[in-house]
Amino acid sequence: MDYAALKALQPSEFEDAAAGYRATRDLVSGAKDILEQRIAGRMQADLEGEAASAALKQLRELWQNFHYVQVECGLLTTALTALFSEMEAAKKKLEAAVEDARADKMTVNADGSVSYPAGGEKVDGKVPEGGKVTGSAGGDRGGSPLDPVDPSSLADALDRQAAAQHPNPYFGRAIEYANRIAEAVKEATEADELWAPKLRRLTADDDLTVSAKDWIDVEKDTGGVRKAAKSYLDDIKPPPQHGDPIANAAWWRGLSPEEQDAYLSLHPASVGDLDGLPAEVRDEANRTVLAESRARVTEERTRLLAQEPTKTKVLYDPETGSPVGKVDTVEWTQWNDRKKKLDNAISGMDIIQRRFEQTGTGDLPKAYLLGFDPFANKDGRVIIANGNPDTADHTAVFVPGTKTVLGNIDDEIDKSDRLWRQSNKLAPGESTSTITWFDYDAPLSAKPGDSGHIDPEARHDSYASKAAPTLRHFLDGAEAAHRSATGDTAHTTLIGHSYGSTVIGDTTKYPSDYRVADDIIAVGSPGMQVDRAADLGLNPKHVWAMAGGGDDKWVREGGRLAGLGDNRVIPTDPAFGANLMESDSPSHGGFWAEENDRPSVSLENQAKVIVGRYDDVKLDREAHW
Amino acid sequence: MTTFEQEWARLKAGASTDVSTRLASADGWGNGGDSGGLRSDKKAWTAAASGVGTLKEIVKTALTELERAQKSPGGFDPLAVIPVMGPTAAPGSQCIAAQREVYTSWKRYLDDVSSRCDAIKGRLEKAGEDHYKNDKAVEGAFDELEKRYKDTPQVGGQSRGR
Repeated sequence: MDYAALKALQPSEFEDAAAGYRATRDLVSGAKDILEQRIAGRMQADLEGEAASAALKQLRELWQNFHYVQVECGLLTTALTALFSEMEAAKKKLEAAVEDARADKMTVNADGSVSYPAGGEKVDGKVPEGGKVTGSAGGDRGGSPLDPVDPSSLADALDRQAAAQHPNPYFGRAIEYANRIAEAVKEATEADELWAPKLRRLTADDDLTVSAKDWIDVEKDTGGVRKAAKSYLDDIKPPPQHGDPIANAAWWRGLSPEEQDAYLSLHPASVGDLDGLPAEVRDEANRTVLAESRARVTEERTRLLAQEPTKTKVLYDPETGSPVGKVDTVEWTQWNDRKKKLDNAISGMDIIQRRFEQTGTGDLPKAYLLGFDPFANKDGRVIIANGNPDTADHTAVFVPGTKTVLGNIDDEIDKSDRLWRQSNKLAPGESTSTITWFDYDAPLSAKPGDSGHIDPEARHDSYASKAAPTLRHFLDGAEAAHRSATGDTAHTTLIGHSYGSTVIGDTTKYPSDYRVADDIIAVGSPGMQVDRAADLGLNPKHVWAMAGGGDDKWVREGGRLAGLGDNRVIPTDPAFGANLMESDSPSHGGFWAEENDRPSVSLENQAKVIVGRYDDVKLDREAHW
Repeated sequence: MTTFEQEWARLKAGASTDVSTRLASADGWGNGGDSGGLRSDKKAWTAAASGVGTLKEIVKTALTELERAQKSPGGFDPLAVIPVMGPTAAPGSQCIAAQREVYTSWKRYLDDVSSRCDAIKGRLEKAGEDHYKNDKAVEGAFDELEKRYKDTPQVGGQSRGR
């Protein structure tokens, strides 16, 4: 760009365009919600058959279009806002220099040069003549000491020297104005050259199929904009260093809507993972992460399948040289491990996507994806809520147990769905949110022989003690976000199934500014690392336990033997002092049974605690201490 | 029925982000009343068609907003619209040219999405009116759309102006 171009440029064009993309993003995001929550879900509930499936397939594609527009227009909004701020700064600098020059009786010419008038004391009877100077853009001209290796500093020094020797006092000031003009033009040119290719990368796809490659492009575009927007982002206060959820919540509240947009579109993975931020924001960020992860994993799997190494090799007897057997090759085993990991990830992503589409069927509310990473921990991370926890009157956080992996998270999400339906039925006028929290390495074996483990992993507390700070962090974040949204707290229940209750026991040991929960339910618990309910930091009348038939006893007694409880006490023991709830579960996994929408006793009891109907809970034994 | 303008004004005022609820209820596509589910297939198809009609209206609104945002107060400067040649050759702003190219591409994309809404809506309506002979024919009508919007790898993805 040159002087004339910057003079003619209206940076507001970028600002206006940004507003257009922001509006588009918001509107299309609304359209996506309607499609998900009111059209696709309802259609699935009301229609069956091949015709309906074909129609749903088209709706799903349309949903993808909306999501693609939403994410790309979010990027465009941020890119254009950053560009506007840089151009606006350059333009203001230019205008200030021109203004100062004019006020000093000088003329700024069409090429950006500055003409100064005659002036100063007479030399040889003549007033020194006027003239014209052209500025140059250098580095810091703010009067820094001469640095012999910095040419701009040298230029400054020469300018000053020339000005001091010049008989016309206007001369030195003219150089100063001309240099300021040149610098403004240089800054604008740099911004222009930096941003033009980045903007072009945000051109819309030329077809309506949103493919894996398109999402991979989106992720690359995000990186490009993030890099280019560095100086703009540097002006925004970064999130607190140590990630304290209360501080995170305050940080987010302190950002302007534009700054929030910038963070959300440029850092979806970290925003989605930031405890303390609003559920709406985390959900939007994690859905982007989900789409991009799916694309990456799908592409990798396709490549992997095309390169399967030789599966086995024949072993020969070193003495006789005759074949003695076959073993899997190292290459194939590695290949197969990776394939299993990708399959696990894809299966988990399909489950989450299915849950999104189920909104509106069976009265299920909108799902909020509060955490997602297919490769976090050993078996992935999924935190998903039914209904908005930030505004809910009652929130239940469900922690699943042994053998949970991303690829089978549907069983756990299903439990959370049932808890939501029954709670909602019990308290129709109040809002409830149930959250499945899977953000830890669950033990993969409960008894010897499971997953080929001789020493079952669930015998050890290490998995739980590792999970505890993460859960504590999440819970504090949920509370901080709720306070941000409503100024108040929700009635919160922590439910742990099996080893999940051990995780909860360890979690209560972490001190925090907030309470851990109002109620804790231990379902089929092998031990909570404490021998008294009161040691969980709650009044024991808010601690609840239940047992099931069949293998449930095995799990609980196994935990007792392994020492998952303290002093070999487990939550269903009289010595523990918790409320022992009635349960009709025939097994360790049957606590959430429904028949024709009617809840089992064990399911309904949990729902009653979730909505605070304590007096209605059916008890085998009351809490005591 | 200026519900979208109202919605838009409200959105801009930043009153709430729950667009879907407002838009949905404004269009009679609420979730009140018949929560027991629709009784007949016909009604379910028709309701879906009406819902997709709402989506199309939203896309149209987005197009209007996008277009409005392109008109700077001073109006278009025809000289500025002339594309700049080469990376550094011209004195004008490359970003102005790039911004306008990008806008053209999104306008086209949203136009296409709007047409896609129309195509889906039409088929849903017809399914609700028993226009098709049987389920197989309905399936065929939707599958035909699948072919229409097939990915174009040679000009898609990487071709997005790169």
